Amino acid sequence: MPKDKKTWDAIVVGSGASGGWVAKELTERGMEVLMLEAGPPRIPERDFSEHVWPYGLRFRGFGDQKALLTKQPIQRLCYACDEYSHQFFINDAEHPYTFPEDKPFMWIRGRQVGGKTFCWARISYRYSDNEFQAASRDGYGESWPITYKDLEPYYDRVERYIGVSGSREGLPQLPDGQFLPPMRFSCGEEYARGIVEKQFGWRMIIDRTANLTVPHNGRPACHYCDQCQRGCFTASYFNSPSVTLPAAARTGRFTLVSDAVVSHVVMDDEGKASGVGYIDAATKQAREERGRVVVLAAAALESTRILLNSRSRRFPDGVGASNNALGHYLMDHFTLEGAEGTLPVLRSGVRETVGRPCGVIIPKYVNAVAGAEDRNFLRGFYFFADSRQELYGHAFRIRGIGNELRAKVRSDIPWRFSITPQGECLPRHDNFVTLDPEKKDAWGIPALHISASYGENEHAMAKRMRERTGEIMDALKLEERTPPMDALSPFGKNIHECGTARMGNDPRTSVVNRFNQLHDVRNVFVTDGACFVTQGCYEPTLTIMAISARAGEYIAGEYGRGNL
Amino acid sequence: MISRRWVLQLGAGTVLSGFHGWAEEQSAPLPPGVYGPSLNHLGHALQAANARPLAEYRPRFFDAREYALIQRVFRVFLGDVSGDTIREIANWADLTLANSLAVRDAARALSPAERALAVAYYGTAPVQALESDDSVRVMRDGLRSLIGVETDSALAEALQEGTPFYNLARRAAIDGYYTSREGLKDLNYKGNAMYAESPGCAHPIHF
Repeated sequence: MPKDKKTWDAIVVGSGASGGWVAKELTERGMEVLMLEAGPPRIPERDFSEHVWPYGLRFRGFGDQKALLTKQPIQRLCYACDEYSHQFFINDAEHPYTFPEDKPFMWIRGRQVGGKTFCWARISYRYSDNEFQAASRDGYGESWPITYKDLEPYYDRVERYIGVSGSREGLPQLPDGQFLPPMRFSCGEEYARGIVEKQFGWRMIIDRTANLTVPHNGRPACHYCDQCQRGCFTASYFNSPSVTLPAAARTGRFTLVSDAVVSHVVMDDEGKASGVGYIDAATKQAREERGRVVVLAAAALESTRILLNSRSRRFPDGVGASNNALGHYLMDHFTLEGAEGTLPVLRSGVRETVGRPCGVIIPKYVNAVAGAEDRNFLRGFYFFADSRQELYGHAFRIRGIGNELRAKVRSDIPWRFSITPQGECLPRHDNFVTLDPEKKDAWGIPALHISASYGENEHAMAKRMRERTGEIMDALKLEERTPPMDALSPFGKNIHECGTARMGNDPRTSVVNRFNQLHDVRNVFVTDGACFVTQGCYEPTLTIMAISARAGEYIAGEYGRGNL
Repeated sequence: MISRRWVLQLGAGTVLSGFHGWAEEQSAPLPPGVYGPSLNHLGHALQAANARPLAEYRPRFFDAREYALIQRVFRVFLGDVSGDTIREIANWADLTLANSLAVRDAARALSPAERALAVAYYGTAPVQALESDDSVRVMRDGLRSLIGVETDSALAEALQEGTPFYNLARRAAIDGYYTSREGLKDLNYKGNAMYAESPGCAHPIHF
């Protein structure tokens, strides 16, 4: 590295939910930050398709299947990687990874300025001490080194800034937040809520979602086109390029370099990080940047991959790998997909307005509240659900042709109700990632080998999830129903991969400390989902953002005190 | 939805939302890929509403006789639908069929790991169905069997419910129609619009 090269106060790797919050916190506290993003910038006028109609696409929304199968054979499995939005997902041929054929792992990635925040589902639930202190309740594994009280102010900070709509419910197992007004139930959900609450004693609540229901911090309210995963011109849902990154940029202390594929952390002779090495995605030239602090926020598995690939004489197995924890304890939620049916009481010939960008949920009760214990498994699950009128799928179930068919499609519109349980995956040492000894990506960086599967606890929980789902479908008297699939969703399918560089007080069993700082190297931090100790059953992104804000505040404080 | 209605809905939504535009101090140049709320989404929406990518399409799968025949078949399935929409559906069906062998080959060319993942995600049957797709043969044979059927009523009688050709052509007709401008209007679809507040149940006494 040239000696006169600029040394940044901090280098942040990754520009998504985590990196955006770290950059905002650091720059607003006076630090000069370089952000390196592996993918290109997305330009709304070119890349967004939020208002495109199916007839405005060559394949009418069904996708160019040849292109998807050849360029994105894995990404296409994600519902959002379609003819409208495939640009927000990687080319699989350029980004290979390996897994045992009997342990298929579905790795969905979005490499661009903003990462996966373009196409995330925006679901924003706080964790409670049910999650943070799970091990102290049931004795399995490790608890987090932080509690809900530690993170609560940062949840507040994040929610106030990005805007999260939701309803205050007073449920101890699902803490309320700083909510914008909630969205509304559909007719089918109102019907279902009454039955579920009466027959099961469970609350059914509207999703807590990072969509604005009122103007907020200079961004207009959602206009309810319901196509968030295609981009949002009005920036009415949270993504980092329209919310946290502009905040960092406005400080004048933020530099963003896109198409910079970080391969490793550069270490000095004293065992501190001196910067990062990266490959220019366009020219494939190797480059380096100097930084006094390195923050990895590239998404759980990418950050761990960078650590594993940061090999040197002092760190032969990678940085942060001095114990046997780095790369291990990979988690992803599992779901039982496919359960749905028609609500017979609501058939109608009147079309209702649609466009609400979220669903409803039945929060976790099992093993979370008194009287709901289930000793067949540890931890628990929740349900997400949605009810809306069928658009035209009922046409395939109606016999007949011609004007008569079209008249029936118009006049007898079924209300569909779909419900999916999502369960917690226990952290297990034998769910792990490592560097593949042979396979490399398009930039010559070793690919990951991922070996993960669900165990006895997940299968026992799935059995109860399946039973409960059936009971709810029975209670709603759903017709034309399909039951939940027998198989658990593939590992990775829910795109909530967490763990592999977990947090802990004990340097012998964890990778980062309670402030996301590597035990082994004090000026390297991992702030994304890699640090998760347990995952609960709720979506992790809000917690990732809160942890990142907290880590950013800590880094700036320590940097100012000369401790990094 | 016609363009004028788009203008009205988007305009109304913007006013009702209380949004007055990106603040002055926030309008400094941002790095590429970083952006603020756009006031030009109206133009984008109108552009999207008017896009017709297959308007000038020339069939690659159907020959002239088949192209005319499939339009008659679609008309039997759909009834009184405009000729423009029927042609649009036929063009889309042609594009899909013209690609289907390449799609099947691409499915067969998945690596063992990619195939294992697809099976884990979809189940075995859908993956095998894609790998053994024979829609080209079904469509060609089906249309060949209808050559010479002169009147539409005779064509309706000749279409035998439950046959592979019937199922394939009916599915294409339904998918094609209800993704067309005319079909969405027929459904009275009220999405991809702009509302000032969350859509939801507005019935005071619904149940």
